[in-house]
Amino acid sequence: MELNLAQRGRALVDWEVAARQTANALHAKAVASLVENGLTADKLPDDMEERYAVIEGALADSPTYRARSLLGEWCAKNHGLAAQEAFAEVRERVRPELDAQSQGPCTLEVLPHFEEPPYFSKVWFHRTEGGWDAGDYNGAVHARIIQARYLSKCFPGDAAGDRRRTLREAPERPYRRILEFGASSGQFTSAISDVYPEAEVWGVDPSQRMLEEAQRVGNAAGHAWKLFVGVGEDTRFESGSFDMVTAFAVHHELPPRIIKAWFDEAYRLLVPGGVVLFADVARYANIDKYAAWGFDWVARYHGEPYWRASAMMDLSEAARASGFGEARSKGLTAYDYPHLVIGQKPE
Amino acid sequence: MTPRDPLISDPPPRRILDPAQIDHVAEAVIGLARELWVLTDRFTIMEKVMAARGIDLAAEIDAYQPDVAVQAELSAKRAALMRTILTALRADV
Repeated sequence: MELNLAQRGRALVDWEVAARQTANALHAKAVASLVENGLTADKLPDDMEERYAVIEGALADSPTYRARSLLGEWCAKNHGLAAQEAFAEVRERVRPELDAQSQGPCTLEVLPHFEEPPYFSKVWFHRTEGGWDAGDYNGAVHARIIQARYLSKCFPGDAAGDRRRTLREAPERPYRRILEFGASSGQFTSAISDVYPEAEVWGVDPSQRMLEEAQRVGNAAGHAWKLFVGVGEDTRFESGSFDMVTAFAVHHELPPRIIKAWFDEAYRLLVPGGVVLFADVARYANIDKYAAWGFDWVARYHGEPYWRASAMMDLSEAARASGFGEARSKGLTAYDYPHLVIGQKPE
Repeated sequence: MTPRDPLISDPPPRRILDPAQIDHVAEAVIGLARELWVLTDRFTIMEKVMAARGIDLAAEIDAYQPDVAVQAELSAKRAALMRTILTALRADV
């Protein structure tokens, strides 16, 4: 669902795509040059900071790596601004349609006890200027410009398919009511309704702006999702009231203590036999050391302060600690993305 | 711009380029400015020519949505412009 942009905005966003694609290509060339010179992945230190020192030391005089760093920094600072400027150019034209999509069967309310946690309010995710909720249509800007016109081209793949395949990993059982933590702009929520069309779907997220976009998406598709501004670790929903608690690609935006609290809260909310199914980014331990360093590099410079700690967590261990005794982890692909943890509350 | 409070998401400070590369950066900026000027000149003339024929080019351009073929053509031109910068920075293109 992408917006038709005017010429300046479209060209600005297209430029950001070219810059990011070029940065990705230069990164690969820089790494390839190291491997060609004998610094293979198996020779890199296990410790990530030591790995930085070795790799960046070896690339200290590389113009290719410097160009990669410059373009990466440019994209980190400017892709969000370009998208906001592109939206501002068409804002008055698209507002009636966006506002109309706010009406429909999908509900959105702020949980009465909700307060923005510091891990959310003190972070400008992806270095989005002003923070995740800075603009009144930031949900549409993120979903319909940044996701649809930028990320989908910089990182091509079958994102919608990944989400549906993730959900199909859940064990066969009736899923009458499903709760999504970190529902954001409703992309995984849509996959839930695709895979389990009979289920009642609830979603929580601390970002009101993203949930406003999820509400538009839900209404446009005729879904009666129940969306709440809140956090997964403290929903205060009724215990034992959901058949599945799930999340997709959110854990890397959370500090480890919150990830552990999500498992605790999921356990409390599930019916006996209910399923927790969380999917997130690849575990560093499961991928090539250069690949892990590459993810860490982007996390470090592109506003992902919790990525490393999250990607080094054993999610199945965290699930077991919360009571999901048979929890197991798996990667859906050879490069461990999406990385899933599936657990079941004892009957 | 007023300085803001530090954020958890702020990256660590770093210096990417060596001071010796300042000439390369200037070369890239001048190269880009030249390309920008060529386009500004061309676009201004184009608007004048079209206005003389009764066409509001600015409105038509904003309403235009490129098809796949045009997108590919634009992508190739962007890539060429990107190479101008990378060549100036001595990156492996």
